[in-house]
Amino acid sequence: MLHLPLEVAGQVAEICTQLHKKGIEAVGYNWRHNYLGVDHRLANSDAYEMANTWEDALRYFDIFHYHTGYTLYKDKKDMMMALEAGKKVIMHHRGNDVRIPSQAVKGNDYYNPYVYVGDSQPEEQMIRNLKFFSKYLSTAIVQDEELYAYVKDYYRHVHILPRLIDTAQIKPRYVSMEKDVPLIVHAPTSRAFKGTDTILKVIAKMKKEFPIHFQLVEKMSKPKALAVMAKADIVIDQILCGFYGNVSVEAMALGKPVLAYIRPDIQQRLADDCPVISANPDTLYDRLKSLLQCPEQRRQIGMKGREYVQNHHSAEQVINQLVQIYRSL
Amino acid sequence: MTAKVPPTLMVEGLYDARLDRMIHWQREQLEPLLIYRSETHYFVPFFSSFILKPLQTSSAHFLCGLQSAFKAGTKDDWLEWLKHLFGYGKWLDALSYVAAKYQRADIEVWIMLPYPYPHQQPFGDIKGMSGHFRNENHRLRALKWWMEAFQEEWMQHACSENIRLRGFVWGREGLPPFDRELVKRWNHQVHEYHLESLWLPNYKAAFVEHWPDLGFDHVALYPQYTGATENDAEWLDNTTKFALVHQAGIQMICGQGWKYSEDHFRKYHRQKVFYRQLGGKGPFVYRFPNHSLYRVFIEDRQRYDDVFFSL
Repeated sequence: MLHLPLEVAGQVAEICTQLHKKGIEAVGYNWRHNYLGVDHRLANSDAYEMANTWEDALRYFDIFHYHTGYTLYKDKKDMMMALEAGKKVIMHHRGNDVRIPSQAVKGNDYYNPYVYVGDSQPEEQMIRNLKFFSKYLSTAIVQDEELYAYVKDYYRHVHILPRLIDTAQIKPRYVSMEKDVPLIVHAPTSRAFKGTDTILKVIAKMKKEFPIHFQLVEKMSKPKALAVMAKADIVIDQILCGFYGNVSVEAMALGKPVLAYIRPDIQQRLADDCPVISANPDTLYDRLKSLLQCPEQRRQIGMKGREYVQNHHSAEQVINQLVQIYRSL
Repeated sequence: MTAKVPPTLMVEGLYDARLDRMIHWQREQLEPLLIYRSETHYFVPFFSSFILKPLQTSSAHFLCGLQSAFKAGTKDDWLEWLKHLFGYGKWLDALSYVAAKYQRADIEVWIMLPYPYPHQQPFGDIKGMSGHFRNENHRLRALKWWMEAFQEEWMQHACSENIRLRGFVWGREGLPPFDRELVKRWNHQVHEYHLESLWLPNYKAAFVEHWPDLGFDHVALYPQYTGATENDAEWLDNTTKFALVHQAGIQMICGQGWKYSEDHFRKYHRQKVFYRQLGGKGPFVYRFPNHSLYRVFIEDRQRYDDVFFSL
């Protein structure tokens, strides 16, 4: 199968790696090149070269798994050709391709005044794309409950496929209770989306009250970012959008306590064992303070996080689910 | 300063998945590419420069391009390309035969190299040393091994008496950042052999404007215009302007299939005239995606004539 056309936070490379382990040929095209570093598990290129391979790709692959609402051609000709050739096609929505601004703020059973949608595509374009894709594709994938709400009314089948992580590769490094000055880490890819400005203000205030170290992880390759997170005592992920992101999954795999905003309606549907401490701009100070006051709690939550990731995000488990989705196409 | 490259024809072969058969260029197929035959049976020289490019090998592995990511060629596949290039009555031998038959002393040939795909499984030993393409040195070692094996064969075969080896073509259009240093070192190696290097990238691709700094001797851009996709003729205009500014050449596309309009080649021809009028000196590389100039000769006489007169 061919994943295209871009990598999203290491997820596409991990999917391909895990599919290979199951004996399934999978190639991931990636046209996004940034500071996260080159992942040789992917076929790194640009849209022009990818488009030039299209005829060979159509002959070679059976399933075309698109990500983030992108296609090779702007007019989506490649996707239509794959369908005309009788190939299986699926769209994996990832975030700002479906986070419809008006819906992100308010839904039937939620209100989120914090969410940042400045990185999202224009609302009309998003809806147009969703209508187009769902007209031709029966099935879509999203990575969490937050995104599910935006997509569910369009496709016949929408699967929530959790973010995956190879827990065998990432060993836990549980927080020490002996540490006098705990390290708090925040690793934003987009400051506005993650709520970094608010986080920095809260940290500045906290520094006056507690002896803490703080490290902002930005523009750093993924292995380096993980190395920094491994030293952390607390990780703050995204405090606006309403669900936790990849950083939370990585931090939990490392055995760290994580703060991220979980929208109350989603929290109700979430597994009971989810140890992410929900914190939004109004509650971050209190939640963080409580954690700083209790090293034992930090350690316990970190251990639960590792367990939670093994139960809900383990690569093997998620890939089995994905294979089932492919079979249903 | 390298000599100008005459209009060059890309000839593709080995396993063609579209036709589901092996393609080996033979004398009678190459003849109408070297010698233009008018309908009144006069014979005049046609193409004098050829790029020989492998598609897939008999085990359906891809030797070149981003397609290497699908199923990269193994060491055996690289050797298969070498073996067929020097096979009796085909490829180089056939080219040499036709050149000699028509006393064409001006025929030169470029060989497209396999692309060492970095995510490839262990490639195997290269001259007693291991080859793992995660390592740039190993990738260069494999390229060097193949180029030297090619040149050894070349010296031993009679084809070298009738045709001239001009150089090697880099086996991929795109240049991801991790290939940059490798390409520089590869170009240096090609020059050590007193040969030339050619790159066939896409217009607007990364690093294209830096082609001289990367060490290439020649470059011909693919304009992304085919007449029946969202990329309109402006892409051709812009490629031409870019090529003029950056002393690059242009690929002349005469394709067949869903993305090629009836008149796209005519537009390429017009653009070529424009480019020459404005002093462009880069190479023109003729490509026939999804068919070949030989098929055009057999099936579409008018188009065959158009190609000839476009030179």
